[in-house]
Amino acid sequence: MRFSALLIFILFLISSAVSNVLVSYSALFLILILVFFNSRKSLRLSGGVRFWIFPFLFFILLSLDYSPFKLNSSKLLSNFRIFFHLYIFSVILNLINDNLKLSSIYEFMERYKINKLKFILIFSLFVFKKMRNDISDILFFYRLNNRGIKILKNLNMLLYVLIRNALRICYDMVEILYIRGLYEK
Amino acid sequence: MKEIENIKYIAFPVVFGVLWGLFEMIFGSYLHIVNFPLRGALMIGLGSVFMVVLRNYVNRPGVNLIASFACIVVKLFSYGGFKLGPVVGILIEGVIFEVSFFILKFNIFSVFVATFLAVFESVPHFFITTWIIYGGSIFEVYMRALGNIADFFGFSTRFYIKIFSIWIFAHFLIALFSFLISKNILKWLKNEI
Repeated sequence: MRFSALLIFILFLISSAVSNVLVSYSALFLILILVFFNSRKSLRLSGGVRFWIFPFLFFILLSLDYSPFKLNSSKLLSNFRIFFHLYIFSVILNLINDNLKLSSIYEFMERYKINKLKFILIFSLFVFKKMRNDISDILFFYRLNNRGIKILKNLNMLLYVLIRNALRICYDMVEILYIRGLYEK
Repeated sequence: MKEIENIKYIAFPVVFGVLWGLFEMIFGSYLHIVNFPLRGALMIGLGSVFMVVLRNYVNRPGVNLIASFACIVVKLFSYGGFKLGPVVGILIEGVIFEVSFFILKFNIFSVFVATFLAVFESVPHFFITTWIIYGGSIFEVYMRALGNIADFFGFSTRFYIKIFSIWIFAHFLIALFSFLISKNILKWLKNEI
């Protein structure tokens, strides 16, 4: 998988940089084949079929010559390459989404002894849970006290309150980490 | 005492990074869904405020990079899933702030420079990500489409330069507002202490 991932990355760069239509199409097809053998479910249309109708129609319309009215095959080939490129990009994102898990990032850090980053990762997730609740409370009371145009007018105050709250959490965290000796040097 | 300083070096950037990440997750995803124009620049402007306040409290090299890493961790939980553009943008913003504050030290001038550089990063960022997502020939298609629009409405073929100028000016305004908000919040926090 690691070799395939590297190859997919290189092929995608080639398809973006090379202006030759044949080379670009070949690189994109090779990516398709590699993804097919590694993670077949990543070939799905992300965003659903409806998402793809508009770009498809857009590129078809741009391939038309209006006087006289006909389909220009060279334009169609070039425009379809862009559409195909977009699809392959979404497939690569699906591939990353399907195969990259937080636990695998943690294992990677564990294997290469990146302790500081590992600590930041765990600590971020811990703070995330705490802050998500705090922010939703602040936003709730902000909406309650600021109706209509006030909601935009007092945005700087909202930002100030959020930062003030973050600073309070910072000092709390420093205290907890110090008292419990949880910090890794 | 030194140990507390070391703990602050990790705790502060992580908390601010998570705060930024939550904003990216809630507002960034929402702006992305509604296809709001200049959403990248707006989110960078907001992130700049957090980066400046953070540096004001922990003025040590590396804090902005740690904050951007924490922000990326949170961004991975975003409703829209993994998004290459914002993740790269966050990382670049961290590097811009880090380099600016390292070279110019932390003062009002470096805050101004870093904020402007970070917001204007979204200009080349747009062209580079478009090139990566659609391939190099997309720009020919854009130019052809603009030419067709100009022909249809009877505009000059170079009308897109005006649109481009408005786009750049909007970035300038966002950067200016971010800088002023950062400056005000720093003042309020200072008065409070």
